Amino acid sequence: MTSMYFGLLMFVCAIPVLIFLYFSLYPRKWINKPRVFGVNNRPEFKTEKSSEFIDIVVYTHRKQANVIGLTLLIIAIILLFLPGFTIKMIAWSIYIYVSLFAILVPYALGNSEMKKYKKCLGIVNSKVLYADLKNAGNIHSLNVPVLIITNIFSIALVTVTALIDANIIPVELGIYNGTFICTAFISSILITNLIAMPFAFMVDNSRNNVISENSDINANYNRARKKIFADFIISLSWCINVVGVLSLLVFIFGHSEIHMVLILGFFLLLLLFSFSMFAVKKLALDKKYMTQDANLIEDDDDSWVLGIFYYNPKDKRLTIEKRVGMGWTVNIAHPVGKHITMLGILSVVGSLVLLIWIGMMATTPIKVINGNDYVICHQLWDEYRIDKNEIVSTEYGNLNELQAVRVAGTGMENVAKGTFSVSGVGKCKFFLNPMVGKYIKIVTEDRIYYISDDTLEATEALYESIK
Amino acid sequence: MIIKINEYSDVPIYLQIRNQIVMGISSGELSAGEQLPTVRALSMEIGINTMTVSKAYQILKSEGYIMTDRKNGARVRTEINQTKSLSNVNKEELKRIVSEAKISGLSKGEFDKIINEMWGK
Repeated sequence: MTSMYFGLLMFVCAIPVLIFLYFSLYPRKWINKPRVFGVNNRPEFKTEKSSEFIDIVVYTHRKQANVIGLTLLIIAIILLFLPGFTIKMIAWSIYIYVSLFAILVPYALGNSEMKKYKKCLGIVNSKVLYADLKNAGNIHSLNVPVLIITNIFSIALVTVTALIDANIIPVELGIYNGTFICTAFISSILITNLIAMPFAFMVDNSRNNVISENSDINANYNRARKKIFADFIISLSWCINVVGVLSLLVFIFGHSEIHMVLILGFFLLLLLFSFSMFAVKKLALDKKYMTQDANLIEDDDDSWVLGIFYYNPKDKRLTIEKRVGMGWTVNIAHPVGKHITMLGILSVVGSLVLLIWIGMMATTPIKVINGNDYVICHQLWDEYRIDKNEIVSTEYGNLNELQAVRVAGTGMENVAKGTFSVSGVGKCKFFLNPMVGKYIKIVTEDRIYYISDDTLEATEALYESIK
Repeated sequence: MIIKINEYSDVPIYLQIRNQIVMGISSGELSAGEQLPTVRALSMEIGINTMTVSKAYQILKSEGYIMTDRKNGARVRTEINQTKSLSNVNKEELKRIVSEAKISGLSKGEFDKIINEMWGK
């Protein structure tokens, strides 16, 4: 059931993002758009001969994007029917990376062709920078007190949760009592607020775009642009706080994993909804101003590598408004931008390594060896040695009668290993295959173990030999 | 007022800023006593080093076009010292422009017309 919800959730989140990217990258009519494949649209492109050529470029790459988009949609539907949570999670993670890369390929090719065509027309970058003296440093839309209040609320909620977990506030958390899982879960959701706060300040203090000779038009455009982002961050922060409160209530009144998955699903849908609202407002704003009032556009096409990454060593700014999608990106040539880019690359590589590791964990069966002196539980790099001389008692039971939550370690369909909190027992060591459905409880002088072999028969044989 | 900085120009950026602020004062786009952006804000708007903007402001201040103080930042001077004469540097520049105009075959009347148009702006 959890696996099915997860698949649906990923589908509902990933497909709208891909559809949004498709329509923003490959518009059918390019003539009224501010850019064509990330290259500024200009009067020279609108002559009869040029527009014929650009029509072909747009048609060709849109067609490629159609094929890629359709393929990605079919793959996403197939992924819905994959068995098992772990396999599904790995497949969806890889799908997200591959789809984001694939959908951008025709755009990058189009960008390269447009830059070449621009050169053929003899257009060189004028490298003229504009600044509006009247508005410089004056346009702000962020409601700072409200943003701070949302963050104080988040911190207060995490503090209350930690106090409940530490039993200072006497609230029953059932199986989660004293595990600090509740605090970790709620903190991981609310940390989004703390991460978003510096971004809100950064965008509010960011450079104003000069789109017109008229300072009032520039002021109105930039004020609206910053307000849309500020409203997005503040509404998102309150939504996250609501999710935090709901999570705490679920921990107090309901103790099942399915509730947690539903809360996470709700959280992701809220993120998607908030972002969609932001995107709709931003597109409407650009449509209003860019089609009528914009007469000053900085020609920085060459600084956009493939139309996606901004690299300009002469530009001292760190954040630049994106050309692909919504929001802001970093100037890779900026000293801080270089570190952020490295961090981004490391995160991608790290997550891929993690996926390989999870994959190995999911496919390698656990092994239990009953030696002369020790019972050795082994899988990949993990090994538990239980000294037979220290065994006080053993017990054989049904896993579905056991109420346990993971405190630290691995919890997958076919592997549960690490420290778990068992209802009525406390913290124990697990090393079992939950699909077997049975466990052997081994009580030693200093620890309690719940183990099984990889199959039911092997587990029964193991119990017979240990007891 | 919109400042336009050409990165490919032979004229240094601080001089481009200085010249455009002077032209803004002359045309009335920047009125007497009008607040100018801070060095940090303007450098961020153009995406250049703060030292470049600071240098432009120092020149404008030494030439008497703007005044700066810690509390109010930079402002256009309410009373700019009117020497009623051209500096030697500007005379030399004008001489060069007139010479080039003569060589290109421009008549005095046409040249006057251009001057009048610019004067009127």
